[in-house]
Amino acid sequence: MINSMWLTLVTFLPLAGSLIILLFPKDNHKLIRGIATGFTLAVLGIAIYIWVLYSKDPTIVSATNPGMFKLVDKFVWVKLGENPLIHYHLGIDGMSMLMLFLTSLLSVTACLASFTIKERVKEYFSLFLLLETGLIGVFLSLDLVLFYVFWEVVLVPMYFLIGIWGGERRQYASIKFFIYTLVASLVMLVGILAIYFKTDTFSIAQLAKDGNVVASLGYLAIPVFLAMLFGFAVKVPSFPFHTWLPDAHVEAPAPISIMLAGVLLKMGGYGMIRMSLAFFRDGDPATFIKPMGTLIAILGVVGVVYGALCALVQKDLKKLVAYTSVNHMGFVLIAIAAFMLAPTPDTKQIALQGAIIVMFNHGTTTGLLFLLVGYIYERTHTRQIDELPGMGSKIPVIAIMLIIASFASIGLPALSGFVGEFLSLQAGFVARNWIAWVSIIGLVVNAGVMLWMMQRTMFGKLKEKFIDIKDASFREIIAAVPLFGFVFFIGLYPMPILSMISNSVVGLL
Amino acid sequence: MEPHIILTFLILGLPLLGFVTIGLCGKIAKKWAQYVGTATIGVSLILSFILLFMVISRNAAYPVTSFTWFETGKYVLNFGFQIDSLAVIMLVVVSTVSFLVHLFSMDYMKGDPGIARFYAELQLFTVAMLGVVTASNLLQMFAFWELVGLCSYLLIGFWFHKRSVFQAAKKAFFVTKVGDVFLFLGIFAIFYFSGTLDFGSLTSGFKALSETILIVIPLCIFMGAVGKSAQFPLHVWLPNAMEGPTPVSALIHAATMVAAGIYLVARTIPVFIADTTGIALTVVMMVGAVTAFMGATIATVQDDIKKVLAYSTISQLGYMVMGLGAVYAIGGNHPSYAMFGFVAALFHLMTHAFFKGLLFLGSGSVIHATHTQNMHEMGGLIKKMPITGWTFVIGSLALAGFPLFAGFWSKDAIIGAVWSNFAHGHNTWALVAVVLALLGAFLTPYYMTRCVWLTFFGKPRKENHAHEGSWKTTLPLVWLAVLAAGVGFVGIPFWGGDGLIPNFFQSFLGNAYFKATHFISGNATLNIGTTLTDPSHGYETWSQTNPTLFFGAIIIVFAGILTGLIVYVWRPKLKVRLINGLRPIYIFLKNKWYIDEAWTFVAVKPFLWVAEFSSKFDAKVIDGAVNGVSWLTVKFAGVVHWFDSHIVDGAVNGVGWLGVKLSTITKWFDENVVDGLVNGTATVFGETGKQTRKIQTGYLPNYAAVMFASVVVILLIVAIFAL
Repeated sequence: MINSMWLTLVTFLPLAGSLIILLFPKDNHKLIRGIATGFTLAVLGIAIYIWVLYSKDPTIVSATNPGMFKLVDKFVWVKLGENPLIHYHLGIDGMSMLMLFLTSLLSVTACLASFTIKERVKEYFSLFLLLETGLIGVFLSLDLVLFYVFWEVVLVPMYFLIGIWGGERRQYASIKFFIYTLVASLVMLVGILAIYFKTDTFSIAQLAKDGNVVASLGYLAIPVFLAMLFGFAVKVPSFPFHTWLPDAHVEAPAPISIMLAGVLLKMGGYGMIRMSLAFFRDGDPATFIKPMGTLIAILGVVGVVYGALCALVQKDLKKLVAYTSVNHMGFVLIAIAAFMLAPTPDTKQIALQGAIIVMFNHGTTTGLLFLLVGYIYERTHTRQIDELPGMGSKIPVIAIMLIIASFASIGLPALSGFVGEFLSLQAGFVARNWIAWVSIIGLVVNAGVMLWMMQRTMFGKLKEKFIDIKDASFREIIAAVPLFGFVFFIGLYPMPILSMISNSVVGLL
Repeated sequence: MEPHIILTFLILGLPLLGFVTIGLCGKIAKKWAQYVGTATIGVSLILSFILLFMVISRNAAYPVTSFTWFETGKYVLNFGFQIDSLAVIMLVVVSTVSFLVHLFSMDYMKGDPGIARFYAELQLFTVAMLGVVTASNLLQMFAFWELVGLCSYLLIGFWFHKRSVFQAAKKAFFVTKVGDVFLFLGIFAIFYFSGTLDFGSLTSGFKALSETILIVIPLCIFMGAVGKSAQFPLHVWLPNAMEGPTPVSALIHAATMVAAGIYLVARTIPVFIADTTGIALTVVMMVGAVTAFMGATIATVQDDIKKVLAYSTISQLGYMVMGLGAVYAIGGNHPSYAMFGFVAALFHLMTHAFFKGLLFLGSGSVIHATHTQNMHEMGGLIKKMPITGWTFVIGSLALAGFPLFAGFWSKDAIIGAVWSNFAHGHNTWALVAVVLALLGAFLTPYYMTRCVWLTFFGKPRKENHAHEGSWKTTLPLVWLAVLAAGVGFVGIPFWGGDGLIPNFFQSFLGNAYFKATHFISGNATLNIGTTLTDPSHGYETWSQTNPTLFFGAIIIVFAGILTGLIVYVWRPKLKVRLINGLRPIYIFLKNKWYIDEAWTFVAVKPFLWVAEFSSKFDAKVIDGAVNGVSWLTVKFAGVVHWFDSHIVDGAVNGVGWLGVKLSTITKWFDENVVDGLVNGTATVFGETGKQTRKIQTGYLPNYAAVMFASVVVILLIVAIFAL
């Protein structure tokens, strides 16, 4: 197979940008912003081109031919004796294509939103681009060690981005984020090593294709599954491992919140589907799949209801959106559980398509919500909901955008949230109907959260002190438009995205 | 593409185009918005009529045309149009009222800075509503159904600067959402069991299901209707929704959107009939009956003219739901009677859309002229606003069920259907429903007499400069008044053998009903299709089978009007005595049966409390555990440090002392034992060296990996200790 360099290029281009920025004088903010934006745009451009290449690639993926990955770039990285041990191995399937696209798209948005950063601009954008490399690497790696390296690479810039440019309690939040996720990823590493020792391979592609890890692990299967699950669940974040999230979001600058909610959380869901589901799919239905699936279902359902309930009473706008993330990512868990518990391949397919499309939609919708909350914060310097009534009449463009994003979050049909909600709950209903029965409480409460939030921020009487604030600028609108494009596109015609996802799903059925 | 599909596309597409145009250009060309909006819906109205006549002349439904919306697994979800008698009737009703409301609003909203936004939202609403009634599958309908809710939210909150307004908007969306999630569950269940959501085959997978599931599924669907159509106990949002502009109340909260719930049940009627126990439909009937009665009682004590009409709407929607509930229970044995409920409900939906639309627009005209909604501040307006006044009277007569007016025929049909359900279907609950319906039938003329008298007759109680609006106001009123007076004649019952006038509505709509029920005809007890052709069963109403009740109903209407006149016109003192004498009931009604309070008590408060608790729990317990672990780690590190400096170091010193003591012993040991071991160890090291050489391959990345691995191992050790 001829190696394709495109994935390597798209992964390391931001890193190149990150280094190049270091060469420029630190006072020339405009130049640095320009370079950073240029690089994120270039990455987006390449991602789109990769999408084209991906669709043109005639490799047919089916249940009998789960060689799922295209555009593979692979060479030996580390040898043990004469045997290759670790590979540099990148490749995409439908799911990672979507995640790559989401990352590059949100990076552009976040980069544009970062124009208001005034301090230590050079370091900021350098770290920002480093973060992008880490994120893309996670989604494209097909070797467990490489995957783990990128997984940890993400942590470092994120730690500094929150710790330096964050709000008042930034140190507490960033250290909490770092240690929490580090502990989780070390536990995950133990799992990875266990898998290696029992199967003699680090290759994600191989493990996913064989899907016989449970048999190899023997009595270790459940502990290792739980170790991996813990690593991913913290990232998702799933109840009860979610408490780093509200703190990190509240303290992080708005563009970093976009990356955090939009992309970083997807690492968890991505890992679960790529590894927990694929590797362990040979588990015994009664003693392995059923208890594990039920566990994930419970975590998901509790997350959906509990996240919405917590969001309902938040006074801080960002915290509110952060808790709705717990609610939305709960649907991902529900869909993953539904995949495990579902009786037929048809339902399994609905479930996984649901899980992946919910992840993508959550990226765009929550990205938008954080973007808009950031816009409001820059104007008013407050995120307290009580301080913000009457924004609707003063900044109508931002208000309309916030209303659309909120309704997308509620799951209004014709907007993207609906499709994912329908698929994941449909699958959940088929798998175990209590999943759907309990989750609808979360749906209702989440609707209440967003409606009440809109009522208290958009409507009512404006406070005197905000009489002079201005509506969205051209740059701010441009940053939001592509995300809205996807919110409407997936809501109205989800078919292209769904069929792309089914590519990566078919191999797992 | 077939002509009917092109027409449907146009009917939906034109208002959509209007919405987009106004949305994009409304700021620039503010005054054109209203003309664009009215024009598009005007054309849609004409096209709807063309489509109606096409279906009539074809005398059958068009086959469903659909396109793939999305696929998942082996399942396909379609986007298509189902054009049959039920759909075209709804199309005509919706586009008529919508057109007239567009026209009416030109005057009503004149000078409002948000008029372009108003028209854009009206257009979007119309698209969504037309989408609901033409959808060919449940998910597509649900999508439009939610969009309708969104538009309702936006339009109720149109004047969003006022606190009560946006609270009302939120309440409307939220309460209907509660119903919608159950509908969503029903959709999951149908999709699961039948593998499709196309209306044509909703029940295709129902044969093997248990009785309980067959009861639960229709009830889930019905919950959607309970929310949208403001049925007890989710009706609480509708009175608050009156905060919106009055034309909006007329279009959305009286004529069309609230009727969508009725349409939903009608469209999915096979799912309800599939419940062979009849329990689901009996629940439907009783919910309708209670709502009809409750709404009527509360309407009698309202002072706000729009609130009277709002509760009246709730009550009338209750009648429709009651009619739908009468569909089964008896259907197995007497399919023709079953059909009455269905036809009657839709018939009442149509007449109600016209006369209630008229009443709301009339009230809008009055409010616009007097700048008050309190009926006690009106009076004597009939002289200043004769057209508004007399059309309002016509609307009230239609609503009250005055003989020959539209509401008379349709309400008669519903009560008749419910009666048949008791008389022929031996459903005892139906008798309770009939009693409640007749009580409501007495109260309706009573509260409308009160409303009309307080508003238009007597002496003006407050200074005002009311005058009639322009033709844009009066034309819709007159148009609707003609319909309110006359439209009932399309559906009057047969009398005698061949009947006096053909019941056009029943034979036309019957098509849709039998087509719907035909789909489950595989089930023996539901084999309705065969009796379809038997006219002796097809055209009969309770009026024929039980004329006593028929004339009794007329007497009840007159009694209601008379009571109203006595209390409010001829013996005003009686009113005070009545209120004092029946004070507990009066207070109970004034407080709207305390249902808002009940909801606050059983749902809102507990939920907020649970939410507060969850939030605290999150911060204190879950996050507390996380922080506790880190605190423990730090403490543990302190302990380790102490341990290190005292115990370990002490031990080292102790060992040193011991070592000295032992050295003499070891000396001997050394010389005799250890020397032997050393020789052995040398061999071991030799072997290890051979192995290690393999790792030192000179392959550069290997070194990197080893370094990395070392870091990881160190981190692991640190982590294990840190934990």
